[in-house]
Amino acid sequence: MIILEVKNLSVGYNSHLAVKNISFSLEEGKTLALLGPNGAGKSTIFKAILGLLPYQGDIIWHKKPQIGFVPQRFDFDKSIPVTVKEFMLLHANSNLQFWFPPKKIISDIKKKLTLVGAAGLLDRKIGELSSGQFQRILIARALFGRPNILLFDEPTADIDIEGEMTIYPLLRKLSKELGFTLIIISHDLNIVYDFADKVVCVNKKMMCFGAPKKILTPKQLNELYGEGVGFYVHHEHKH
Amino acid sequence: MDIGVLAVSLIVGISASMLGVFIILRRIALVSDVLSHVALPGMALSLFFGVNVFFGAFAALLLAVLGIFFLEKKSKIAFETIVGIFFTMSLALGMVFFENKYELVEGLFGNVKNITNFDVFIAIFLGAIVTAVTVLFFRSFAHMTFSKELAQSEGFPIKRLNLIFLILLACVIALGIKVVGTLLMGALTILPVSIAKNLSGSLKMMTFLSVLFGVLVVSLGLFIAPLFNIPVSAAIILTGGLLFLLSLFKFRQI
Repeated sequence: MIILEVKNLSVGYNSHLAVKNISFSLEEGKTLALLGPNGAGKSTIFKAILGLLPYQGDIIWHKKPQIGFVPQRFDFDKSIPVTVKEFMLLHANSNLQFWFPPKKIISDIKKKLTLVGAAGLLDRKIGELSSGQFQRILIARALFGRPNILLFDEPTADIDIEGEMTIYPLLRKLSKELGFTLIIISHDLNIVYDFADKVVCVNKKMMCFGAPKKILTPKQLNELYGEGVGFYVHHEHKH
Repeated sequence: MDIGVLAVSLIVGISASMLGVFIILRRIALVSDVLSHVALPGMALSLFFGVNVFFGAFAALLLAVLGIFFLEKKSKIAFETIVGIFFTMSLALGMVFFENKYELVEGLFGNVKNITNFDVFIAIFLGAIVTAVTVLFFRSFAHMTFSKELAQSEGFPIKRLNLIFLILLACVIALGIKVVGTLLMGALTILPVSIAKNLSGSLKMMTFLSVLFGVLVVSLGLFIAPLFNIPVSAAIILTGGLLFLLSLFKFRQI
């Protein structure tokens, strides 16, 4: 069943269009990747889907979306003493619950942290986490709203390779267990090749849409990234 | 010591240190410092018209934060630039409007001897509101300091929250002007929370300690000033500075 249809989506900042005429659809429970070079407008598409930017065209949901959003790691003062527990509590439903969290919310936070393999981090300060650990916390936060669709924006900088390698299998596992549909922004062809059911290639405009193994041909990639970009297809991981 | 002076000073200490948590979280320490000077021309005008300087200060600050808010929204000029321009213009206007240079100095450095019963009433009323609103919006304010995008995507009305924050800032600065003056009020919003930050292991503890140090710094300043025969405002800020230096030797975080 199709959960999301995007038709002729164009998003503009101050009269110039960041992306133009993007169309794709997404089936429930599947993984879609947005692929493209830096500045291609991938995050802009996310913002339009999240309803944070005005757009032209249609974004049609065939099921009421409950969107979980994992932003790229963001910049904040690392010396601020905010614990993982507090960071998760910012999601609590009322201000009072932030100050006096009921046991139920704390146990819910613990459950979510366990799901992402970060159970031991509850009382650590977020400024002291590795980038991979922090990303897991961001995923745990996104799970708090019981999403049926998760938007995952892959970080471009400060990537901790080891963390990155395990994050996609984790996302896939969570998507199966919790039953959400996944849209990822990725710059990594291998990741897209291994993990996505469908891929939308974007560089300001729509370049291709389809199953990665079919459409990510050397010719297509050259068009997307310019000459000389190849990728190494590694063998399917068995977990 | 006059009980009114003590009351106003403590309220200023509490509300400034509470809101200060977000000034530090949002890394806009210098903005609040600089913003405090905007009060000056308002104070001069209220002296001219013979009304309580609090009103002039508050009106000028409110005008400034609203101006900053809309300019930031409508133009591409950086927040710091806008604040910087408001600041220098205000200082210049203040110099033009203050006829009596002695009053200008009082405006800049505060004078607790001038605190009237009416000031006490306003301080208690407004201080309570500012503190309550800060507590009420604590989670939202904290939320948007980490990631505007994330906060927006979760439905936090960040523009409105930002406006509320700026108005609170205007209130706090206006409150503190009689106690420590415009030049030093910025420091009172930064010092207690900076001390607390060095000692805390969580955001809740940092907020709690910040308020505690806000009270402590103000009380110590009031106590020390007559002993050394120095102005109260200077005593408060110097005490805060000294405690901040001590807090750098992180004994143990709590």
